[in-house]
Amino acid sequence: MTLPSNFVSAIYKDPGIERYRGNPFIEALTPIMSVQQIKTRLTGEIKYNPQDVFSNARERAHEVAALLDDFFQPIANHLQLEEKISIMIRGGYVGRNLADGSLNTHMQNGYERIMSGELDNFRFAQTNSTAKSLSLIGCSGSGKSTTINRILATYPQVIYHEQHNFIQLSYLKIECPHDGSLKSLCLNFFRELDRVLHTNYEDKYAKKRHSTEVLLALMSQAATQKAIGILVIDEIQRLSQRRSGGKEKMLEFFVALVNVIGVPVVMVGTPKARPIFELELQSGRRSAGFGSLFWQPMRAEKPSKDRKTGELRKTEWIAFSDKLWRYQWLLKRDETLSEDIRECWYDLSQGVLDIVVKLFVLAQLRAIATGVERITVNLLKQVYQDELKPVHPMLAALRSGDVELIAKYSDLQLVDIDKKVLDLRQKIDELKAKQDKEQPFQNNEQAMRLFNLLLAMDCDSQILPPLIERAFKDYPNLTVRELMPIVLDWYEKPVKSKTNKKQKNVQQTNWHTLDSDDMRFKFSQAKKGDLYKNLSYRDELFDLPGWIKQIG
Amino acid sequence: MASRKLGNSEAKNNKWIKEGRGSGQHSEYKPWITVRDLPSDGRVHRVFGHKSQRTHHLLSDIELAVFLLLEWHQDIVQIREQFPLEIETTRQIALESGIDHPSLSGVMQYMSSDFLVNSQDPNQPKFVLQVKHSEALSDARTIEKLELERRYWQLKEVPWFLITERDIPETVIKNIKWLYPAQRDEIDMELLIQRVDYYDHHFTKNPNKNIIDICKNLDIAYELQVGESLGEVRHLLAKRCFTFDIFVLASKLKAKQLKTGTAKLLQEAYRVSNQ
Repeated sequence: MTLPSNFVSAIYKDPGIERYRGNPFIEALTPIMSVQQIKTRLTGEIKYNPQDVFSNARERAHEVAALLDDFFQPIANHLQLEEKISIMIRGGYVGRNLADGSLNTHMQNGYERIMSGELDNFRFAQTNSTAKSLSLIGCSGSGKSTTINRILATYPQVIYHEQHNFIQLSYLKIECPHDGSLKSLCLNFFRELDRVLHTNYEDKYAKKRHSTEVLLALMSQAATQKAIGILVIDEIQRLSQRRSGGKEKMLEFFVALVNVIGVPVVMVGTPKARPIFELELQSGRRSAGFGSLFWQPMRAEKPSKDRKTGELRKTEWIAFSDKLWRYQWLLKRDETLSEDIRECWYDLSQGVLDIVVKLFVLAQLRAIATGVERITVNLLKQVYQDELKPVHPMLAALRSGDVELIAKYSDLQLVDIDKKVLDLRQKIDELKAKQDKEQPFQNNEQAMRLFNLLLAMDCDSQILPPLIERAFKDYPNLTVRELMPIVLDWYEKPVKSKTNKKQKNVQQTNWHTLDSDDMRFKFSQAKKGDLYKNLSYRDELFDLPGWIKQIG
Repeated sequence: MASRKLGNSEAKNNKWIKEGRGSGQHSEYKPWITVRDLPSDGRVHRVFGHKSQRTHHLLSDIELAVFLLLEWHQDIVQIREQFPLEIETTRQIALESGIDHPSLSGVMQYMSSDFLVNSQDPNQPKFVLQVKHSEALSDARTIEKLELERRYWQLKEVPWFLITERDIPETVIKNIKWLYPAQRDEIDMELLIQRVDYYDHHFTKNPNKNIIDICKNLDIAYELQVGESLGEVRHLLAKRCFTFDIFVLASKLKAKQLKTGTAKLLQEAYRVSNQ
């Protein structure tokens, strides 16, 4: 038999834990990972070649935009979630063993329930559920779905046990329907099952006007049949919508799913969903049997000192921002992240991971489009003002720390981010078209690269083009690397005829493209007439207070 | 750069160089621009410098304030005001940075920095201060000239700093203005130490009294001329026989806020007074 491409044949490995031994469902899963393994498997892979900084603006825009999809840096929250899910999947299987018949008991129960139409009817008193449930709450953009997806992706989703001729579904992730109704949730469930397993549950059950009670029973039967390892229900806050009316029922169902059938459930939602879980607690049930994780946005604490070594311990935020800072494709970038920028970055994003990354990406694109070619406090603020308007209420709520406000605005998402990226790319394209007109070697990719490289080395953009043209004419067979010293040499010792060439002045409108320590650049970044406020003691201002103190 | 209405001609530049302007050390130094070269619309100052033993030319109130601070600070050994920058270098920098070199009717003008300072502080033995009114920083042309100056000193590897009126605390200036003239009065070491003991005694007796009141009482008690005691105290403060927080206005000082200077400082004072 040939398996569909998303199916894997079971390979059994000793799970190393007595409780799990002899259970084919568990032995077929990916072995339990060490922290290091988790880290490497969760981390997003970004191809960063420092040379690409010198490629043309349009290409760089693509590299930058890729960060949105690929950048993922596991932090403590993520590792904790992985551990819980890993335990939940395996724990859920303990009570449902394919080899010793306990699965069949569950199936028999399910059959009884369907026949009688009652969810809480079960015959075999000894069915012992080992499943747990978990709720995960976090603001929109804190990476809940991304993290869950990445964690689940470490498991094979469909495993075929040839020995038992059984198909095991290690996880299933569905979304709560917009209207919060049970019926559409059931539909979503069967649709997702069909998508993964190539079955036709939807036709068979969902389109047949069954009552929701029956549908729920059918769902639980399907969950047992396919031995679903873990059920993830995303966007749980949609349940709280009033007109659905099925909120309690649905929660009861989830609880039954956990307690009776033995499928562990993870419920994911924004702080808006909190009342649901509180409701659960009131009724004395264990909505969050395995605890609930509340993901706060990252905090920007001051780094603490290690008592033993005296070294500074990096906080999560510092480590995260440092890591992200490496991925810059800007000609005049600062290699180290200054505290001013880090602080501003945090203040604007409030440590919401998604916003942190998006702000960074949009800022880079704009830096390329405007020719500033570096990230500054001003630039971040402008990008925040212009591009992140939709989430301002949410971030303002986080800044205020008001729990009610946070719950109110916790859903805000940046929907049209792709459009913004496209807009900026278009601006960059226009910029490139302009450059092409100005640069004589427009068709020569290598010449362009050399030009940008030399620009980055503080060479003058006015003097370079003729030199580069000459270099490519005189030495057509040399590489960019070999040409560079030649051009530099010419640049340092200008030919006689060139000395009387009139030097063009840098117009004030272009001051923002100058180097970071240039007073003119600083002037361009300051608010009108307020350069003084941007200056700092010991840099360009004389530290008079500190200096007077020395008098004693 | 001071704002000057009249530029120099080539000939005048050469004449100034011949005069030795911008060259020489300590008492021999001649500033590039003197008070006389300016049109008479600004507040200018000619002040005698104790350290250089010559007259310094200061072209504005802020410059005077900065000068007094430099003169007061023990670490500073030499202050050269209106120090000219080599014109060949500034020209080259202007060319490279895309800034127009200051010129008047086609004649390149020398640029100058307000203060070139030598210090005993091993961390910063030499540095340059450019005094600006903070308002001037909103002028684009001013920024261009500052950038030229900044690059010049970067090339010379001398730290360069801006200083504005916003950085100078009013009280500090007032204190230094009050003390500055007294720094010069010479005095015998023995007498000096006697006086320190004498005033120290009275200060410790009345720790919560204002020093001016203490001095008034002493004047009356010993039938001295009005203000004589205060004059002596001012002298001792100027010589740093007593130290106090320079950020507190001297006329409001309480006796307990004064500390006797260390023996080392006294010796220093003795050495200075013997010069």
